[in-house]
Amino acid sequence: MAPVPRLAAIALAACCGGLLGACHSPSEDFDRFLEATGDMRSATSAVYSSTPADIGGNWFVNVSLAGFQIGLRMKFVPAQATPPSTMKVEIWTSSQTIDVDTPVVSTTSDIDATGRFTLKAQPLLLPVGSIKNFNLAINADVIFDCYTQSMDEWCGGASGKIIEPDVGLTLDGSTLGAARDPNGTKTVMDVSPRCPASATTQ
Amino acid sequence: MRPTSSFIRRACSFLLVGAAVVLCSLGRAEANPFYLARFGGLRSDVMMTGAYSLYWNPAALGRPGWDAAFDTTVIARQASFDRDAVLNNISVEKRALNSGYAPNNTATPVPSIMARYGFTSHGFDIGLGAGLFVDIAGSANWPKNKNAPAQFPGAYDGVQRFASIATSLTVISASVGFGLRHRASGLSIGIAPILDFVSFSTVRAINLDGTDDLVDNQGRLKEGRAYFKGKEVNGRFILGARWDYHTKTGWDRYSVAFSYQHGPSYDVKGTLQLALATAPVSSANAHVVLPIADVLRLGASIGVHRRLVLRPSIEWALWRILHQQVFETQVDHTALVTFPRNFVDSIAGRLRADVLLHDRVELQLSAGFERGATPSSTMDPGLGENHSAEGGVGVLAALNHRVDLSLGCIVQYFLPTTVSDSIQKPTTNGRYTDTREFVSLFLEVHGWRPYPGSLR
Repeated sequence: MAPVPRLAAIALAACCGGLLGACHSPSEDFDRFLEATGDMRSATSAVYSSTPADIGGNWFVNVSLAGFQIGLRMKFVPAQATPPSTMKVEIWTSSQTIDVDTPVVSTTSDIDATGRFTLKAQPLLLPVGSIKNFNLAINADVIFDCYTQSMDEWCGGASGKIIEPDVGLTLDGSTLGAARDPNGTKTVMDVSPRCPASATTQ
Repeated sequence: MRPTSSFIRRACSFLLVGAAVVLCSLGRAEANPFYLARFGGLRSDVMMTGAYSLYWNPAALGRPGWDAAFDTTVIARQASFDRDAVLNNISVEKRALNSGYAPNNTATPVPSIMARYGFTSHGFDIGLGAGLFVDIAGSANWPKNKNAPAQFPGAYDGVQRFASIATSLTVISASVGFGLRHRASGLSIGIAPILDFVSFSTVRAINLDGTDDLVDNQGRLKEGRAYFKGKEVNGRFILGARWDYHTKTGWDRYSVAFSYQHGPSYDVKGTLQLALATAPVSSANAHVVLPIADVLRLGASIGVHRRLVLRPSIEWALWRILHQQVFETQVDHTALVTFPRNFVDSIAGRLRADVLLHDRVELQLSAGFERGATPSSTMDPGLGENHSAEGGVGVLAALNHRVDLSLGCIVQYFLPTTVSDSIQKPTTNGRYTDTREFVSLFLEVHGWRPYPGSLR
């Protein structure tokens, strides 16, 4: 082989050999993380026990969505104290005051005889600042699947998706917990964002 | 067969095989630093002549004759980040997994190839050049914490994971350039348009509330991942000017040169995947703008003695354009993830010397200092660079009248720094060290020319 092509051939071997050892794709790290956390990422909705109770009044709700803890204030006005019943539901963000500010959601919900009810917040508009250290407004379609635990506590799961920002984020697997808050003083630190382990039936 | 024909055949073989090497390698050419143009070894500055003037200063393409050259630069890096538990206010229960020392040692070859042909017409030297190269790239693959407990799967990716787990940026560039010299005055100008093929992917740990929490206050998984992969095709250009002054004695020659390298903003479009806490993995079309600094280079070549040429130069990269990096949705440009940068211009000054040891052998020496672009407050293990000093030594040997071989090594030592004012979320306070070596093997094939000693 002539000297110059021989040099180039050596360079070729050296380059390709070196590069084989240098190959690493960021996707490998992402895939490994997904594999390692697959069991923790289960999106199956749990079913909880529920008991009929009078849940009329003001509530603080802690919702755990994709690692966020979002505080909401809710006011329930049932047509009658004992389920089954229909109730008027209004939702405020945690920085707002019930009956003073305009609610971000006004809707109705039916409570069945077991105390289970569904809240549809479609859309749920959360302004900038609703989530600590997160500087984006959120527009989401959220369905809260709720189970009454007592006249002072209800909880459940949430599903739906984030509409804006459009990152394709679904809310499956999200959870929530609520505590009666007549004075509007509770925060996310005071309320667990999920049902107690004793309430899980499946 | 006549010797000249044989040589041309071998030169063509060189170009073909060289191009094959570059093509097979460029797709994998990954190395730190973010900006790595060092091809040509210790001749890698605005005073470069020959084929690689296509990149360093296309004004020097306007010379009669031809050159073809192949460079393989091995870039080695030894960096570390020691995330400080106190400076980052890391709680006691998280310290073992979110603070501590992370080393990063890599070595990667980066090949390139360029060629030039020139002729004389009506008192002008006219030259054309072409090349295939990588001058912008960056990668990081930080080592894993194999002792991380299984219940905290995110910790496996190391204490630096909220700033960088792995990144790969490769810009494969193709260029065709033109140079023109007015023989009587010694003035040259040139231009080299460049077409860039950009490939960018990165993965890092993320919590949208900016914390480095591994789990939420109920003990469930909170730490997530953001993975982006995208591509872009864009263009840029290099303008050059040069003035050569020769005296009758031959060795006391003087040249000054200037080049302007336009820095594009790469709008890399791709897919952003988010794995946030326990939520299902989401995927969205996203883009990120990667602005690249304009670079101004000014240099001179001063023949102070028959055996000694000095080459002072300065390089000014206008990194002030990089305020922040924002990953946005493609549809409505909503900012999803933002990383502050607040870069400042980097300025490097170098003094290089070519010492003639023998008619066919030249010793090359280099020393310099660069003011880094990264302010302390936005330093992170993924992209940050502190000020650096560099030194280099190399040898050029004329194997015969048509083939030159250069071997050079430049060591760039970044001044260790301890950051305590990080504004990143989560913060990246701690101690940073970084050293890089650029070992360049530079093979030039050209038309017949006298040995270096005969030129002086």
